[in-house]
Order: sequence, then structure tokens, then C-alpha cells
Amino acid sequence: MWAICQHEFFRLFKSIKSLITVAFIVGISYLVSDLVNQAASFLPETELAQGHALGIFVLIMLFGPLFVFSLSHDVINRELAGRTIRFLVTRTSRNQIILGKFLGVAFFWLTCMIITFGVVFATVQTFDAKTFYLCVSLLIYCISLALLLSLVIPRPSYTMFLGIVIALILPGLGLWSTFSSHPAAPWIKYLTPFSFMEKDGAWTGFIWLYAAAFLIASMYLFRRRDC
Amino acid sequence: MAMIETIQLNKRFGNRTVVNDVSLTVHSGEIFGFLGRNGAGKSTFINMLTGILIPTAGTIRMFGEDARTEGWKKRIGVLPDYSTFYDHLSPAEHLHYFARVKGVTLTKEDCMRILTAVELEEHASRKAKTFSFGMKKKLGIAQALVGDPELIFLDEPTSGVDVESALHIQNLLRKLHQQGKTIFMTSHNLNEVEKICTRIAIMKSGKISSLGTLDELQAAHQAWRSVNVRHSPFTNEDSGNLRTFIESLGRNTIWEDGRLSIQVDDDQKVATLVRALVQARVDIYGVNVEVPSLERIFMGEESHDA
Repeated sequence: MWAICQHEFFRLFKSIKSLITVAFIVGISYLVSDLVNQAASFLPETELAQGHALGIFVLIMLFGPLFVFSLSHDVINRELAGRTIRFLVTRTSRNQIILGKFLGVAFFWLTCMIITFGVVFATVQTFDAKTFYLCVSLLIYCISLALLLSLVIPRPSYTMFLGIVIALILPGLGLWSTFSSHPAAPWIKYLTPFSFMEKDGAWTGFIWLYAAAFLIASMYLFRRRDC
Repeated sequence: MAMIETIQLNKRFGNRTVVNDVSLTVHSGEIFGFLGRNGAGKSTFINMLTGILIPTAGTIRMFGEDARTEGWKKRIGVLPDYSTFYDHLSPAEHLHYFARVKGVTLTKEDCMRILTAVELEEHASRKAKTFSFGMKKKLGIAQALVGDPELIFLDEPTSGVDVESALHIQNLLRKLHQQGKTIFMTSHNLNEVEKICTRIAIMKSGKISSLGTLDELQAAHQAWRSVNVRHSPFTNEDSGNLRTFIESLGRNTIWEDGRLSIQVDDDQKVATLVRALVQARVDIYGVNVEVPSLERIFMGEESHDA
């Protein structure tokens, strides 16, 4: 499991696309935190850290799903299509493969968030733990969903397309359902992570429950799938 | 000890049954050859054994335990039928990665020893994307040897490689067998299977149609031996009777200038033939008995369909 995790982690860091994405997130976050810092005198002391992390928060909430799906839409089906998965399923259990892949991508985004928040901290000496937790929660939700999608849909080109569609719909749907009075909105809002973030507190645990459900579904399906 | 045991193993793709109720046992120390024409179900069968495909029905036991436990995967090595590798990794990096996935230690010396065994030592640090088909096949065999597995599955290990490399691979398989490894292989090279396999199964339309050692297969198929004799011309007045007697020993008798060719179904008839010639004062310059090849048995099996 750890070998697969490590392989996936370093594979993401070796990709130019990933590095550009990370650099973009870090750059925007730094600029916003610096800008907020210049206006620090207008903000209450208690909200300063949150203000500094505003750039990261908005970026991840709006584009986090897009970042995750564009980099990891093919986390499983890439190996299925190339048949390199055969070298893995003949060596270790299928559950370990799923967990290894999930952890590899999760550690990549965790590292990305640590770097981003680290840069903000180094610049403005504040760290907003709540924003960090919410960003990581959303990313974990997206990673699990991308993993499930990559397992259900065999072709990487299809998951690339569908991933982008979901990544664009998910934040829009989430924000609409959270604030809309449409009869369907209360049902839809519980499918996306945004309403749980809005409710805050223990409700955010549901985001992790969704992620766990996607992960368990992936394991279940993979155990029954030909490679 | 049974290394592999399948009980009524079945695999269907949609409405098409590719492997049909196959029950088979492979014992420790065997080189088991699995034959069949394209589409017979060989690769599907081997892929189910190695965990690549999920059986539709039936039971697989590996090393005596239910295959669904997956713990036995550490004890096997597999060359799948279609091997593609990670383009950005070298053979050495592949072996180290696969060793870590398997949870075994692979030292640099072990890695080079495996690559040397498949003649890839000079390409240890070249990216796999630059490899030819034959080199990828060798890398496929190399990765199957990682972790010193007790049971090795090889799906067409010599297809696509040059003759010299094929002979090298055959020698490698013999060495592995001498070390006590159990090998389960498929091949279209019947000569290769005949030379190195201790037991053979022929698969036809998803079922095993023949199973046994080469001797057992020959006996089961009541194969006819071809006897070729080079002899002096018949001068005896009774040559007509001699010819009639010889022709009665077998079938498909061909008389040519100083050459006799006949098919007999019993070794004793070869002796009777030679004795008859000697008693008729015919000089014998050479006798050649051709035992039926696996190819003939295989073609005989396949022709039952026609």
C-alpha cells in the first residue's frame, strides 16, 4: 500500500501540470494574504488570520474540485487502460491498491495545502486552522469521488471530461442549493460538501463520511472488477 | 503438495462462456504447460488464477488456501499476457517498485542478478518506453522473478523474442525448475512445451480436452510411431510375401528406392519388422523411429473439431 502511495505521490510531483497547479495556488494565496495584510488595520484582530487565508479558501472552494479532477481523474483507469494494474493486482490485495492510490493523492494535496498555508504563515505570521481543515475536507471529498469515478469509467478521456463537468457543477450546485429556496434544494444540498461547511461544527464530519462512503464503494467495486 | 487447485472454474463474458467448469490440480515442482489455440481460454484461465480476472463461478485454491484471501500473492510471480510498463521508469526502478508493492526486500545485487538472468543488465537504467517488444517481454519475465516466488505464471514467455533469447529463456525456466520452483506456462511453441514441461494440458473451447505427461498423452491418443528404414534391394524370391507381411504390421506403408516408411502403433512391431528384414537377408543401413510429437497430438485434438 505504501509503495503505491509513494509512487502516486511522487508521480504527481513530477508532473508539470501538478507543479503549475501548486504554483498557481501558492501564488494566488500569497498575493491575497499580502493584500489583506496591507488592509490589516481595517480588520478586527480576531478575523485577521481568516482574512489572510481568504485567498486559499475561495480558490479551493471554487476551483478545488477542478484542480483535483484535472490531476487525478485517471488515478485508477490510467492503470486499467495501460494494463499496468496487472502488475499490482498480482502482487497485493485490491483494497491495498485503492487505499494506496487514495493516500498518494491525499498526501499530495495535503502537502500542497501545507506549502500554501506555510507560505502565508511565513508572509503574514498567521495560520487559520479552520480554513485549513475545511480546505482539506473538501479536497478529500473530491479525491474520493475522483477515485470512484476513475474506477467506474474505464477510459481516462471520459473521466477527464466528466471530471471537469462535475468540478464545474459541484461548487455551483453547492452554492445554489445552500442559499436557494427551491423545493429540491434541501435535498441536493446534502449531496455536496458546501452546505455542511456552511453549517460548520460537527456537520463537517459528514464531508468525511461521504469521502469514506466513496472509498468503500471503490473498494467494493474493485474487488468485483476484471483488470 | 497442490500449488494450484481449481474446482469447476467458470468465466463468462456476457453470454459467452470462455472457461467452462475447469477442474485442475498443479503440484509442487511441476512445469505445467497449458496449450490451446487462440481464444481457447488459456489466458482467461491463467488470469483468473493470478487474480487479474474474477471467476464467474467455481473455486480456486492457491497453496491450499482460498484464493479470495489474497495472502498467497506474495508467493507468486506473474508474466501477464500483455505487458506494458511505466514509460518513465527503468527496468531497475520497475523491479524495485514491484518489490515494494509485494512487500519484499530487493537489494541492488538481487536486482542485477534478475536483470542478468534475462539479459537486460546492460539496459538496467534505460527508460522502458525505449524498449522493443522482445525487451519488454524479458522485463516482464524479470519482474515475475522479483521476491523469489515459489510459483511462477508465464503467459507465452517466448512469444515475440528472437530464437537465441527464446533458448535462453527456456534454459532459465529449466534452472528455476531445478531450484524447485513450480512453473505454470502457456505457449504456442509446441516444441518448447514438449522439451521443458513435465505435464501438459490442452484446452479447447474453454474445457481441458487432454491432460497428462507427454508419455501419457501419447498413450492416450494411441499415437502411431513412424518407422523409416534404409535397406538394400530385396533379392529374395519371397520379397512379395515379405512386403505383404511388413505392410500387415502397420499402416501408410511407402516403398521407395531402398527406403521403407511405415506407421506402427506398438514398439514390439518395430522389432518384428527389423527381424523380418534380417531373416530375409536384407541389409539394414539405418532405422529411425519417430515418436509422435506434441504437435501431432495437438493437431489431432484440434482436428476433432473440424
